[in-house]
Amino acid sequence: MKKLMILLLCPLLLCGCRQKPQEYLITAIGADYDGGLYTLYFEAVITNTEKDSQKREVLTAKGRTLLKTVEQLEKQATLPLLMSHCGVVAVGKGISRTKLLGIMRYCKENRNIPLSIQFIETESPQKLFQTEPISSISVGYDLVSMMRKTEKPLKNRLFEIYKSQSPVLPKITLTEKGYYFE
Amino acid sequence: MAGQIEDYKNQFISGSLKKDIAIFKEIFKNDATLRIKFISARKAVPFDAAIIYIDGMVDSTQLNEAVIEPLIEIEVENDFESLSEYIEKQVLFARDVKVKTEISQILEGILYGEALLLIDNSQNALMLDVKGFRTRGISEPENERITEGPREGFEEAALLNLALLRRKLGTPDLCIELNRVGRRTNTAVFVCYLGTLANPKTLKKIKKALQNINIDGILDTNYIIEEISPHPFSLFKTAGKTERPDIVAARLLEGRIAIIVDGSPMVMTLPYLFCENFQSDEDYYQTFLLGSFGRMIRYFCFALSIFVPALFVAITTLHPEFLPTSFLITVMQQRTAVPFSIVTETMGMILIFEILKETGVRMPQNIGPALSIVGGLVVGQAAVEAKIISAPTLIIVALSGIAGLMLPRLRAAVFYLRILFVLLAALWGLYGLFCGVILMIMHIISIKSYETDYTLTLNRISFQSFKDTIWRAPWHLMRTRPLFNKNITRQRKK
Repeated sequence: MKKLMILLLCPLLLCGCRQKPQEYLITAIGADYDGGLYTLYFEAVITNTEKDSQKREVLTAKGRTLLKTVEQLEKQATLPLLMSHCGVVAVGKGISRTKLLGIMRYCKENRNIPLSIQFIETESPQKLFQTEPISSISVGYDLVSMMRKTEKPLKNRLFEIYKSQSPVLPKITLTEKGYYFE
Repeated sequence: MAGQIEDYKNQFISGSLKKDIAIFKEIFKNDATLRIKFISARKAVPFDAAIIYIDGMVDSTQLNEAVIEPLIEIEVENDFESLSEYIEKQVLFARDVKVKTEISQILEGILYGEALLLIDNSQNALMLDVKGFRTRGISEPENERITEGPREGFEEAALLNLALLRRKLGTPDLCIELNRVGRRTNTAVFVCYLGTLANPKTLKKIKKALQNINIDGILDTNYIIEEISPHPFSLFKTAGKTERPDIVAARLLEGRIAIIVDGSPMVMTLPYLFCENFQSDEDYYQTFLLGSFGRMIRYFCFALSIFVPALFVAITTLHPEFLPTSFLITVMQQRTAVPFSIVTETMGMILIFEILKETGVRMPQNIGPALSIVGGLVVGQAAVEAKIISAPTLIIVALSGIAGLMLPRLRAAVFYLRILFVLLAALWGLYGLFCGVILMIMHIISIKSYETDYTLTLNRISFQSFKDTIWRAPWHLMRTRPLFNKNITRQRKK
């Protein structure tokens, strides 16, 4: 009986170990390439204990390859990254077609990133994520809502772009008041 | 009483009043309730006699009027061969008079509330049915309340329960067999069935199982259920238990067997099917539309009560991608300051809910509502505000707990499965949970309740087999009874 009780309690202890108290909820990814270096921007939301308060942060890292940049970013982050709710990848003008395919391959192979993630083009991901969100908790989710409202289907989801192999990404323009799709 | 009833088998009364009274005095030497009344009739037929009975178990008015007075007043001088036979047939007015000679049989009668009449120089003892112990009376069962339909419920006296059943089934086909179970309690256990509908194989098996019970006392029906259960360690019941005569009558009409235990208001019915866990007698006393809805809700609540906490743990711990972002943020926000892991928190909440439930049941009725308010609202609210638990976990556990209350017959299964699934979900996420569900379904399918598949009515996909399972068909469509016995006419309706 004692052995059985110990056996029953063991899973509880194991489960306690895997508990993550707080995480960065990644809502959007930004990618740019300049001077032989990749720059990645992860727009993250962290929750506070106070009611209805979330804090938005933009994590940034630079590296020679995409994977090294991601690793660098994960090292810098003080909390674990939760990628499952990431909605948008904003690619900068420095990202060529080959590099875009590399980013898409990374997103496809990372099983935490949803296959429905949408790709957009922007002048500068850094500036995009520096602007204040208009209607939701993050710029990433603002963009997702805006794309949902477009009359014409954009076909910019990861699996759609992968299928077509000739990505034509919707372009977001930044203004002083905010951002809009061209 | 010195020794057991079996110790007096093959021992007979001597015929000498003094010696026989001495035997019974010796047997009941430690029982202060034994009464012995001496009678000396000195009218037309002079004789000495004694009446032995247990105080409180006989109706003293009836004893005086139907036994003592006629005995003293015997006036007619007759030619008779045996005085005891003359008294038995022509003097006594008792409900029933039996002639016994073996001491073990006499003891059984005395302990069951009968009075013993010993006549000097007669080797026949007369057992007089003058039972008169107080009973609780017929009332509506607390645990099986309904809004429409009959309100009477069984009570502790088996004979009264048999009468209630007999009133429902006015047919000579109703068979009632008496068994004595329990070495020390010698409890009367009645096996009831409709002779033309019950499966003889099942009946034989049940009778054999009853005979094989070797326990010193039977105080409630549950003793028998656990003793003869084919799956004693299963979370799912394999025997039905009810306090309502209408349910027992309905079960007998389907070809089942009922076991009535003296001293318990709960009557056991066999075989028992999985779908019975979701049935309520009220389903049949209101329109089939309402009855069917209630039944489907119960199936839904079963799933809700055992899966929801596990799904919550699995999704929030290992599969957050399944949650809508806003809900995920709410959960994360609520959980930020909670010091426990989700699984510890959920398990703790399940236990607290069970404690509150158990306390509510045991509390006096006037304290119950206060306890609910303090336990449920005040403590719950305070715990959330103090960040000891998170609000989503509280809501999930409360939802699952309330859903579980709809299934009183599956209480054990719901409680243990809920905990088991939470552990599986915490360890292996949805994969673990689904493995658990598959194992549960395999277990349910493998159960047999006395030669009958536990999922008998769910095995065949047809209208007639589903008519009284996941929904309750109108009576004009319920033409056949469940197939408990292949040799009987299944036609219920012509």
